[in-house]
Amino acid sequence: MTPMRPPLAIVPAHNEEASIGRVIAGLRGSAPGVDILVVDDHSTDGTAAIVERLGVTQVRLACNLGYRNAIQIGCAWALANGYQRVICFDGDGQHPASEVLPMLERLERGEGDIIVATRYAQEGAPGASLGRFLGNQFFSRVASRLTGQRITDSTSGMKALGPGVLPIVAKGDFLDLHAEALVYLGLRGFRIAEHPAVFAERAGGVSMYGRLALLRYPLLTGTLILCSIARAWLEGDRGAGR
Amino acid sequence: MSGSFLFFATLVGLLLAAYALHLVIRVRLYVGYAVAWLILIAVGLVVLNLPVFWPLLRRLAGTPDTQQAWILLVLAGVVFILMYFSVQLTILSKRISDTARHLALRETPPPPRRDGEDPGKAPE
Repeated sequence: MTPMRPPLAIVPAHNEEASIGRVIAGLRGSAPGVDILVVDDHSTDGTAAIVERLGVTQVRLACNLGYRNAIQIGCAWALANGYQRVICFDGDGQHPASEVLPMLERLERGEGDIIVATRYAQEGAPGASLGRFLGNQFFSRVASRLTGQRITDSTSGMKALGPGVLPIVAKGDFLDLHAEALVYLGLRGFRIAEHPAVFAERAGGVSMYGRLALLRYPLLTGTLILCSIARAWLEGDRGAGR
Repeated sequence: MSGSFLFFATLVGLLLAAYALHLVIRVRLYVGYAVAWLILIAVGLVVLNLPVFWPLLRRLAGTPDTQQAWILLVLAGVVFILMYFSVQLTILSKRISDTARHLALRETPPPPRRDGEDPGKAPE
C-alpha cells in the first residue's frame, strides 16, 4: 500500500533570485515535513539555478504563463504524484514560513477546505498601497457577502488547499486565484477559513501587478466573479464541498 | 444613397476581398478566417448594389437613411468577426498554455522517495 504523501508547498517563482534561496531555507527550517515544489515561470535570472543547487524539485515552464498557471501546474503535479494537501507559498519572500504548519494543521483538523492567510484579521492592520488595499477590501467584502463566509484578504496568495478543492483549483478558469476563486469555491459549498499572518515586504524582483493593474485587476476580477456565480449556479451542486 | 458613396464602398470592398485572397495565396492568412471576411464583404456589396434590399436594410437598422443603415450593419458584422477572432485567440492561448504545461510536467521528475515508501508503486 502506498503511504500518504506529506503536504506539498507550491512555490511559484518568476525572476526571484533575490529571495528564492531564503524562501526555501525558511520552508525547510519552519516546515521540515513539508515537500517543496518550485514552479519556475520561465525566469530569465538565476532563480532556476539556485533552486537546482538547493536540490528542490522544480517544474520549469517553457514560456511565461503567469501566476495562476504556475499554481495550477503545481496543483496538477501534486495530484499526479499523490499529494492531497498543498500550500501555495509565494517565491518573493512575503509569506511567513512559520505559519505553514499551523495552517496545514488547521486544514488537517477540518477547520476548512481552504485556509487563507490574512493580513487583515484585525481592524486597521497595515496593508499594501492604498489602491491595492481598497481593491482588496472591496473584493473581500463582495466575496464575503456572496459566500456568506468571512473573507478579509481576498488577494492573499498564501492558501492551504485540501483534497476536495485541489482538483478544482488545478483545472478552474480563474484569474489569480483570488476573490473570483473564493466566490466560486464558497458557492460550491466549500468552507473557507482564515488564518492571521504577518506578511513581509517583497525582498526583491518585480511584482506581477504593474501600474495598469489598478484598472485591469478590478475589471477582470469583477467579470470573473460574475462568471463564477453563473458557473456555480449552472453546476447546481452548492453542497459539493460539504 | 449617393453615387460616390456607392462607388467608394464598392471599391473598398473589392480591394479588401482581393487583399484577403492575396494573403491566403501567400499563406499569411488561414483560409477559414479569409472566408469569414469574404462572406461579410460579399453580403455588404450585394446589399449595397441591389436597391431591392434597401427598404429591408432601413427596417433592420431602424433608420430612414439607407447609407446609415448599411454602415451600421457592416459595423455590426465587423464587430461580430472581431469577437470570433477573440475566441480563436483564446483557444490558441489555451493550447499554448496546455502545451507548455504538458511539456513542463513531463520533464519534471517525481518527488524524492521518503522512508517507508514502496518504490515499486506509483502513488494513487
